[in-house]
Amino acid sequence: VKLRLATKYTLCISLLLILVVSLVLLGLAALGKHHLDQFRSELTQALTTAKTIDNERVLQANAKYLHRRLFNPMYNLDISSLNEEIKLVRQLLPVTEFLILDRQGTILTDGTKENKRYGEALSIPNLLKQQTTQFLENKNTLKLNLIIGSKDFLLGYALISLNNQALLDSIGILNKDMSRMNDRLLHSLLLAFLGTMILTILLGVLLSRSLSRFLSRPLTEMSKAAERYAQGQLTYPLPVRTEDELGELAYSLNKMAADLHKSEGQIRAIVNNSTTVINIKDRNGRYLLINKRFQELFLIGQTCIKGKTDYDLFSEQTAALLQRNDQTVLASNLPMQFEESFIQNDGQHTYISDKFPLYLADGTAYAICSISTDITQRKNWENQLRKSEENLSTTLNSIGDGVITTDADGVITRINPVAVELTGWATEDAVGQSIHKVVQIIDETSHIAIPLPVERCIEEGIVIGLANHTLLIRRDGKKIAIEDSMAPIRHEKNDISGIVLVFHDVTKARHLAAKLSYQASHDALTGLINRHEFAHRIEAAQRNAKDRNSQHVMLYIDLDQFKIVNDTSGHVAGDELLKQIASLLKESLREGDTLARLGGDEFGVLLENCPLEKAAKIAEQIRLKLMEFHFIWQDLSFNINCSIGIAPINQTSSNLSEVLSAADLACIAAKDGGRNRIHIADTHDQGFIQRKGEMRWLPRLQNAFKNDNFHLYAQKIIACTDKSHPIKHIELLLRLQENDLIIPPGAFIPAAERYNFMPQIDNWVISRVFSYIQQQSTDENIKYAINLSGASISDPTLVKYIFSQSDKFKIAPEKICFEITETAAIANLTNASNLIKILKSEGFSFALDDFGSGLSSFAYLKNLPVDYLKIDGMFVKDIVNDPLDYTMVKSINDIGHSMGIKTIAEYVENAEILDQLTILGVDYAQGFYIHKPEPIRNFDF
Amino acid sequence: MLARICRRWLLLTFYFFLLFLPTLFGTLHAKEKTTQIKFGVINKRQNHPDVVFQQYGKFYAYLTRRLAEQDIDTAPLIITQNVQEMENAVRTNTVNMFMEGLMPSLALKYNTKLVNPSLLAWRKGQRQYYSVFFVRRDSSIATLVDLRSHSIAFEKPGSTSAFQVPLAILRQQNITTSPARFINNDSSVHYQFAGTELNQVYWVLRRKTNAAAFNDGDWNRLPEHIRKDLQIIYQSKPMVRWLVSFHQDLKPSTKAAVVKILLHMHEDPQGIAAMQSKFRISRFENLNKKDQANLDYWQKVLINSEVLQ
Repeated sequence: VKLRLATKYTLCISLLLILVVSLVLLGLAALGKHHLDQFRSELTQALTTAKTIDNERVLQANAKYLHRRLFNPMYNLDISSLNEEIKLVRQLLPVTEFLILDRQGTILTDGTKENKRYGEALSIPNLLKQQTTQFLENKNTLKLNLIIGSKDFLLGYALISLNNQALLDSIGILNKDMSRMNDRLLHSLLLAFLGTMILTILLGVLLSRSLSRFLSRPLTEMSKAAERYAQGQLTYPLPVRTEDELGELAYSLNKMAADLHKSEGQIRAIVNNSTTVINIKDRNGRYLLINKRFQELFLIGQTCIKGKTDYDLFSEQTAALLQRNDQTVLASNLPMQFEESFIQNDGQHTYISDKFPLYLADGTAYAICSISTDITQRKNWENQLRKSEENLSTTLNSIGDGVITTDADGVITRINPVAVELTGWATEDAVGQSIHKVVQIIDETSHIAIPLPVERCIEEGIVIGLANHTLLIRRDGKKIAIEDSMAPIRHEKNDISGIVLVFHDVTKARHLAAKLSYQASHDALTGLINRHEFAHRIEAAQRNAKDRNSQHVMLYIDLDQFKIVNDTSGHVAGDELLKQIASLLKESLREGDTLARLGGDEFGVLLENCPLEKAAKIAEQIRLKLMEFHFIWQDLSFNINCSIGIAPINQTSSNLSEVLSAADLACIAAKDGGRNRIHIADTHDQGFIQRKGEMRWLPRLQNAFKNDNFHLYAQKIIACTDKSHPIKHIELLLRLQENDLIIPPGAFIPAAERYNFMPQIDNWVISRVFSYIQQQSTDENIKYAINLSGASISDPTLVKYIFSQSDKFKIAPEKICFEITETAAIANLTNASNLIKILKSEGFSFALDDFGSGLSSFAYLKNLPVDYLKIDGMFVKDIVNDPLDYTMVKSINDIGHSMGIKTIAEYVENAEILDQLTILGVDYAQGFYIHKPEPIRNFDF
Repeated sequence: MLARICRRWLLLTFYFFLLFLPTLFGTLHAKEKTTQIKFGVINKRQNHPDVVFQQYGKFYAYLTRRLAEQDIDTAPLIITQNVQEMENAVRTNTVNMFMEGLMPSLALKYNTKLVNPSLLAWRKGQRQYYSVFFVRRDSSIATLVDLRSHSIAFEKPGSTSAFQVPLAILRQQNITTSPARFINNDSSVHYQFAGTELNQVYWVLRRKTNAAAFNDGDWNRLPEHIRKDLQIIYQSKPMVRWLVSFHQDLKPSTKAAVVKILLHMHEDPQGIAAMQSKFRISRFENLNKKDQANLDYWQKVLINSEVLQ
């Protein structure tokens, strides 16, 4: 361990002092021991006596305590306890006698077992009678007398004698011995003091020499070295002689000089190699130092510059500016920055100059240093940047979208006028604010705040299109529909420094979209939702029923008399009726129920969360309400009834079409049941099953068209009376072939009618028959009967189609007779009448099929200018046996003839029927007896 | 048939045996004698168990050591606060050996019927002692009868010779006694307790009471110049000084071992040292017939005078 200088000297001096003091003390101790041994026994005795004095003091101090201790035994005449107390005091004090006296002064006990002085009478000092405690002292004895009890309640006295003589003797001897010992000690101390002084002087001389050697020489060397350093000789080495603080100091000075030398070299290198222009001038503007760059730029050497001013180097104007800047810095005494310009070889350059004063040790500025950086290039860039900035601002101010840019923390850095207009935040208010504060958007429907995904955009670095249907809340609280997107702003190094939010007002577009959406889902006439939307809601209800086991109901409402209104008063009246019916239906429904127009005169109602019984009640209310309703159009009044099909929507409902068809079938059942009634769909109901069966025909019929499975059969119609009539009649019948099975029309026609296939089928038949006729021989005496369905009668395109087909196949209208059933004609009376009139005017003929099955057939005959009446086979087949049928056939035949209409009897199954018909004068007969239908390809007249 | 009857009787006998088995076991167990010495002491100075240990410690240590040589175990010394507590200890067999004066020994024998004094001890130099009644020499009281309507100082309630025996003697002579009150105006002897024999003497001398009673040993130890002012007016029959009693349930061999050690203790220097230390016993002896008669006499007196109840 390296000993420090201070430690060295401290140890050295301490050791010396300890040595000296030890010697002194040893001498003193030897002297003291000699004398103390001599007087040890006297001293011990003196101390013992001193202890006795101390006990006396204790006794005096505790006289009251003793007084209290003796009271109780005295009062109880408890001699044993008194003796115990006396014994205790004797152990503590040098008692020579302790007597307890009664009030009369007679001794009660002296504390001994023998109690030899018992009964002896003593005189009580008068003084004690006046006070409780008395101390008496003579040469040999110290007496302590005290009263037991009090002056008023005196029990007795205690007289205590202590040996005083021994005490006094001891003290006297002690005093004498101590004086003698003191004298000797003083003598000894004097000798010790003299010895210590001599030793201390010697020690001082030794220390001085050592200090001189250890301290002075290194200090002198350091002083010389410091002078050299001050003269700039920083390489001068200082010897390091010791490893103490002086050695460390010398080492540090060497290191300091080396560091100084090094740092001076560094500064010189920096100054000379710096691209900045550095110079130092004195207070009067005279150059003291310039760096290499200065020399290069202004073509002047370091040696020449000294003493020169700016006026010697630059133009007067430049020099004046430089001088003024320098004086400003010197006046303010603070570092300052100036922009200064110089003319150089390649033109004018702009510098940014940092100027600061240089100080002396006393704080006085003696010079000024300038460090000038050429910022000409930077100035050019700044100008370019400013221009870019102006361009950017102009662009942003010109575009129609709101644009907001932020930094990486989402703090707005720029906002264009459109964004200002849309957000309601002024530019100065918005810039510096968080974008979340300025751009607050909510969901259009729920009005729940939608957070801007600024952080995600920055983290993931992707362009994010914001949520649809958003509303921007302006600063004034107004809401604007916007569409927006957010993109990260990237630096050259692909770092993301912020985001740009682009958004625009889409209020108008969204209104338009809403309108389109409304129109797509609503019926234009009634304002109710349309079939498409209704289907969606039924599907939603179905899902809900499945998920939550809830019960909903669909009503399928079909107006019974709509066609009549439409036919008799026109479409305008029909439309008005539908509007009024829609209003009526709305009134009958609960809040939240859905009413839709499904098409034509059909309405649908969705009763959500409604038991079937309740739905039935609602349906019944609707029915009654419509019954009470009278539709007035011009002078006409119409009673309106409806048929309502009710179908439950519950967990067992499999899909949308099942619900719709169930409701539709229930409605059909209501109609079949006589109309103006409600019917609840029952999957076990026979009618339902049948109608459902019809539904299954739908794909089969579609398939038949696709695969050309329809075939034509022909059946002859013969003349009964005028058998020589040259015209032959054939009725063409339709059959459906599936695999090897030939299906008669009765099986699929109802389904085809139900699902509106009949016009298509009729067109197919017309086309095929016309084609067939063309391909046949030129026998022009054959008349082909083609059946037209009720649906085709109302089809406005039918006439056009017939004409086009007849033109196409070059068919003579006279060869064609269209058959329409009485029921279909009556149901579409106007259309039927018009159709007959049009086609007849072109040469086609008409037959009224199944005549007689309707209730008021004859009444309609006047409006239907047909050529043939085909008597319903139901009357014909029993004509031989049933007189009523006979009468019916006869009547029809008679009326027909009276109206100039030929008659045809169907279902002629035997010769008797034919004979009977012949007798009655029926013109034509048709039936299995005459000819069984056969495929037209095999047919041959 | 016979076999079945025999089997039934055998079963009944077995069940009967099972029924009484615990009782039988208990009885057998109860009759088992104690082998451990459980020495008890009545502490005359409450809250000062150190006094007891000073008095009996060395003695009991000696006894323990000697008994251990014969593989006889001793329990730790049991200190009771009064006679009643010792009585309970005897009843529960917590103590099966003790040493006491005449009155406590007889009281414990009479009340528990479980202990019997077996040895006597010489104490303070006395094999037997007397109770003496004394008055001031100048007193007019000359007999016990003269004490009527006067006061007497006894030592303390637990003292045999300085309270219980004198009380019994007074009652034997049809002299009624009562504790002293502030005003005493009846014909009974009014007694109060002075605490120590020394106080008894000075109370008489200083006329605090008219008389006092304690044992003849105390009388003889009075300084002559004190005694000269007093005179004895009555002396009782002698009493055995100190007795050693044993529990009936102590195993005879154990008791015999203890008795043997005690009887020869005065022949052993260590035994002498143990007896003399504070205890002030000089030797033990067997009770002879005269001693037994003396005990019977005093038991009778104490019972008749209702001191012993």
